[in-house]
Amino acid sequence: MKISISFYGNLIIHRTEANELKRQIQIPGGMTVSGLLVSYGISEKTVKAVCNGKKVDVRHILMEDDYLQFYSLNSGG
Amino acid sequence: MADYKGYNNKLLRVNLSSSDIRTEEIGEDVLRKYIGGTSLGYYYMLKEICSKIDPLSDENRIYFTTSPITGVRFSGNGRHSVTTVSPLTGGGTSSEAGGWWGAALKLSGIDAIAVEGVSNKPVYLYVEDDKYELHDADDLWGRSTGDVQNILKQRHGKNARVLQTGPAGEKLIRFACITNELRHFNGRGGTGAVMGHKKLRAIVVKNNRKALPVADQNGVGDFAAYLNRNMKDHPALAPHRQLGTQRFLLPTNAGGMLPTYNFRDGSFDAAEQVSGEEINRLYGDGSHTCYACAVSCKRKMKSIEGAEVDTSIYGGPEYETMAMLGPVLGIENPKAIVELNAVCNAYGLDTIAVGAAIGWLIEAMEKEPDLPVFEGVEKIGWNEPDKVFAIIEKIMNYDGIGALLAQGTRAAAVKAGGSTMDYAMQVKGQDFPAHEPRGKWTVGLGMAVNAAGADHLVAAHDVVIDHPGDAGPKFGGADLTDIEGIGLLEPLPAESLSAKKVRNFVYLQQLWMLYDVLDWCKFTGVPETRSYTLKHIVEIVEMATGWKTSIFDLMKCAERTINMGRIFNNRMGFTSSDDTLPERMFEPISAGPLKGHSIDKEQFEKAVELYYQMMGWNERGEPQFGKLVELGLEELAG
Ligand code: SF4
Repeated sequence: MKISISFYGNLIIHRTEANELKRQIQIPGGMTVSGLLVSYGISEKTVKAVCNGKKVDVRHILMEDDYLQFYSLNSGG
Repeated sequence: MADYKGYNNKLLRVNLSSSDIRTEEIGEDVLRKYIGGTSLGYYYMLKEICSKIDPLSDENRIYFTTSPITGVRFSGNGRHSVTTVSPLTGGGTSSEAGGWWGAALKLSGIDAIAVEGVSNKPVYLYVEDDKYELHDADDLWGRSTGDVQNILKQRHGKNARVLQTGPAGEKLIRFACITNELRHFNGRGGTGAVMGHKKLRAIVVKNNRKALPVADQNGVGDFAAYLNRNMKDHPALAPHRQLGTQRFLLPTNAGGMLPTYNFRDGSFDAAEQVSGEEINRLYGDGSHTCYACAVSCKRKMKSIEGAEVDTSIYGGPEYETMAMLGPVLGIENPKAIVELNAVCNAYGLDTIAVGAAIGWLIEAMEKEPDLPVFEGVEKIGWNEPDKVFAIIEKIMNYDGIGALLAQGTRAAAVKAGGSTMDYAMQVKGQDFPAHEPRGKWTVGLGMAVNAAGADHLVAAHDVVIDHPGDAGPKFGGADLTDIEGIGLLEPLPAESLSAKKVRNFVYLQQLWMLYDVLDWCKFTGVPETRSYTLKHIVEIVEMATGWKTSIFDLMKCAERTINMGRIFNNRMGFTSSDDTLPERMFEPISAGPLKGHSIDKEQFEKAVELYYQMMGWNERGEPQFGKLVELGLEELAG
C-alpha cells in the first residue's frame, strides 16, 4: 500500500534530503501510525502526527493514499 | 580585583553630551551577585534611572553587557545584551543578540558599556584594546546598514566588529533594532531608536587579544572539545545546521499554531510555498555561524536578481521573520519574504514589529474601513507584497499611514480607536512574535507577565514539556529529560494553566533567564537540544570564574533579574493591569487543526494571580519586602 509522509522540525533527520517536503513510501496494509514510527526508530511519545490534515492518535490505522505528517515542536525561533 | 577570572572588571562609560569617556571598575561584589548579561544591565538601570522618564529623552541610558563566559571559546557564547528603556513600551527592555560583537567587546578588555547623554552631531564609538574614541559619523548618517558596515570595515579592518542601528534608528522609528555584522539582531523593544536619539550610529570593536584568562583553562578546553564533538552529530542540532530556525515553519503549521492573517487562523494553505525548505531550495546559499559555535545555524541567501536590496549580505530570514512577513500578512511568495527581510535589515527595522503592525493594518482596514484614521488611505489586503514594500517606505518617511505605524501597533490602535485594540497583537506595546499562545497556554502567561512585553523566549514552550522525557536517540528533541534537575518531572498538557503549569512556568522562566544572564545561546542548551546538561552550566561558570556555585545560586540570580525587570517597570508606572493579553487570545482560532481553541480567560486571570503569589509579589504585581530582602534587592529597589 502506498502513502505519503513528511517529517518536520527535529525529525527532518529522517528525510532523504534536507529540503524534502513529501515522499511516497510502501507500507503493509493495516499498519498503524505507531508501527510506522517503530520502523523509523522514533519514540511515539514525543511525536505528533497529522493524517490528511487532522491530528491522529498513534493507534490510527493507515489507508491507501493517506498523507501523514510527523512533527515535533520547539520553542525557539 | 581579587581572583575572579572570566571578567575584565571594566565598564566603559560614555557620556555623549560631554564627549567624556572613562573606564570604571564594576566591582567584584557586583559581578558575583549579578553575573552579567540582562542582570548586569538591569543593575545599572535600577541604580542610574531613578524615576519615570521618556525613552527618547536625554535621560535615557543604554547598556551593552556581556557575561563571564562571553568570548570564552566554545559554542553559543558570542552574545551580548542591550538594556534600556524601550521606546515601544516605556518600560525596561533587555534584548540579546548572537554573532561576534559581544565576544569582541569582551576580548578587547571591556565587560560592559554604559552610554548616557545625547551627542550634538552623529558619532560612532571606536574601541580597540585600551583606545576609546568618538568619531564623526556625518558620512554614515542616512546610509543603509550594509553601506555603514562596509565603510567601517574598510576604515578599521575586516576583523573590526560593527554593531549599529540603521536609518530606522536615526529616524526614531519605535521598533528600530540594533544589528551586528548585518546578520545578528538585538531585535526587540526599539533599542535602535535609543541609539538613534543619542546620535550614536555605531560601536566598532576591534580586539587584538585571542583569549580571555579563565580559572581552569584545561577544563574549558575539554568542555569546548566535548561540545564540538557532541554538536557535530547531535540529532537535534544536525537539522538545526541544515535549516536553522527556518525548519520550524512547517511543524508549527502542522500543529495549527502558525500565526496566519494577523493571528486569526492557525495554519496557512501556502505554508509549503513559504517554508524554510522551499526558501532554502530557491535562494539558500549554505549557513554561517556565530563566534566559536559548532552549530552554524544562520542562513545565507543568494543575491536575487532585480531585488532592491542585495539579499546576500543580510543573512536569511529566521522563522520569526518568515512567519511575520509571510502568513501573518497572507503573503504566499517566498521571494517577497526574502526581499522584505533584506529591506528591513538594511533599514534596521525589527521584522516582527513590521509584520505585526502591517498585519493589524490589513485587518483593521478590512473590518473597520470607516475609521477616521483610514480616510484617504489606499486599501491594503492580504497577500499584497508590493503594498507591504510601499508601507515600509511610508513608515521610514513618516508618510501618511506610515506615521501612525512608526509609533508601534499599540499606539496605532489607540489612535485608530474602534475595536482595533482587540486584534492589536501586542503586550505592553511590544508586538507578538510568531507563536500562538492558544495552543500553548504558558507562552501566553509568559508574554503577559514579561517585563518587556510579548516575547517567545521567556520560558520553554508547553509543547516541549508536554511529553515524557524518553525521546530516544533518533529523536534528539526537546523534552523533560534534562530539566529533571530543577524538579520538573511530570508532563503537563499544553492547553492548560493549572497550578502545576504555573509552577513549571516559574521554574522555566528562571532557567530561560539564566541563559540571558550568561548570554548563552538557548539553541545549544537544555531542554531545547540537550547537547549539554544543567550540570555543565554550573561547571562552565566555575571553570570561567573560579567561583563555587550551583544551579540553585545561578537560578537565584535569574530570579533576581526577573524581579529587577519588574521593579524597574513599577518605577516606570506599570501595574498589574499591564499583565494581560489581547482579547483575540480568549477567542477561538478561526481555522486550522486548532480551530475553535482559545485560552480560558478565567484560568488565565487566576494563573496571573497565582504567578504573583509564587513570585512573592502583591496583587499589584510588586515584589513584597520579604522577597526583595531574600534576593538582596532591597537597596536597589528603594
Ligand atoms: S546555535 Fe546558531 S544562533 Fe546559536 S550561537 Fe550557534 S550559530 Fe549562533
